[in-house]
Amino acid sequence: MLFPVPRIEGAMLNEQTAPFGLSLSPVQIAALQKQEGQALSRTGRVCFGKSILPRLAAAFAGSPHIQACDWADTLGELTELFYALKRETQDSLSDDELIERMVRTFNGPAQGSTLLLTDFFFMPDETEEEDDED
Amino acid sequence: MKTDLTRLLTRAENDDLRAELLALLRLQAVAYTQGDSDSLPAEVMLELLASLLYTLGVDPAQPQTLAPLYGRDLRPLYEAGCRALLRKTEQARALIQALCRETPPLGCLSLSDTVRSILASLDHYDARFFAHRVPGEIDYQLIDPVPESVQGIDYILLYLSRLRAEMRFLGRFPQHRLLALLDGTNPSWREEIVSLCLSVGANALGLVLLGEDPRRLHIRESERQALLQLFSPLHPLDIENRLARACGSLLDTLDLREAQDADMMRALCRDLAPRIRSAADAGDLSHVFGGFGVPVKAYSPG
Repeated sequence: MLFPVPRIEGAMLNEQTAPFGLSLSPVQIAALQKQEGQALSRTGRVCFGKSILPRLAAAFAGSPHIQACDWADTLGELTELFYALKRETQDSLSDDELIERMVRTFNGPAQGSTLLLTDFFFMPDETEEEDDED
Repeated sequence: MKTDLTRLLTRAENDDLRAELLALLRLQAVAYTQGDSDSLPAEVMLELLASLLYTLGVDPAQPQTLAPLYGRDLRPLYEAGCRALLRKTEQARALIQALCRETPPLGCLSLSDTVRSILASLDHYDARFFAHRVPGEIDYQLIDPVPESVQGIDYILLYLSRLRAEMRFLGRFPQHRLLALLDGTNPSWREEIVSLCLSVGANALGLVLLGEDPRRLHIRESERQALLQLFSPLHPLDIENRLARACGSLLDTLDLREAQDADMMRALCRDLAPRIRSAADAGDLSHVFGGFGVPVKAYSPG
């Protein structure tokens, strides 16, 4: 392995999501870190920078569909999806653009379902079309 | 005190250097993604690494090439390496200019396509991220191919200098004789990916062995029979030695004095010897020492 799986600062991650009543235990953070490593490996990617988990957590914490009881599971699924979509889009979107679009799809047509997120991700975005018409 | 630049590093030194290289690779990855992404497909990352190592002069198959880097600031070394590679692209352009001046106008498509492709690719040679990639599509096959282990612009420089030696060789023969021999040995040589020097070199060497002027290029049937008698009792290695001895005389006659001229002829002998042996076993050398022919023209009614 060229680069080790990036370490996550648990305290910093929880600090970001605390206003939304979301937090992760050290065990959950370690599991998520492991899951990120597996997602990278499954999608044939190498992370040379920072873990995507804090950015995903910050972006999704405010979603009305997120529930504290399954926050760790949802974040894990979002991490898997992030790297899968990174591959599917052939790196045409930056990390921030991809997260932004994931959030829009998750809160919009996917109605908080990580299962539907991929299906709707590649569908034309109606709000974008309306914006274009404006 | 001199530092031994070819020694193998200790494990600790190796670990230190690996950390330095990975830090530089990380910077390369950030520059490649323009800071937009913290991850990359593994194959892209491996290419960035290959480019980095190539630019720094490290051959992963030869650990001793790491030693000169130990204890040095890699960033300026890498920047100097990039500048050196770009200077090599200028050398390649100069070589192509010389090649165009020296190449006989024979009309070989694979040759012109190759040179055109290299020239166009030099403008887009990515010394920053993919320096190890060979710029250009290589169609024309050399008698002495460049080893696959040679990378990037170094491959092109070596290819062009070997190609130049081949063209220098061909340029020593009367053009009408070259064309007649090429048409005789393979009527579609203009369109096919074939070496121009193989049949020319074979006939030239055959004529030297017969005590004739190699610039004649034409080998009569009676001369082919004489060559068959000469080679029939010989082992492939003895054939190669006989050809190698004839090379010296051929190079003198053609006034070819550069080291690469001799290298090309040695490669030609290595290629020819087994082919002569099997042709002699079959009792027919006409596929090795070809005759003259005329261009094949497409029939167009009216």
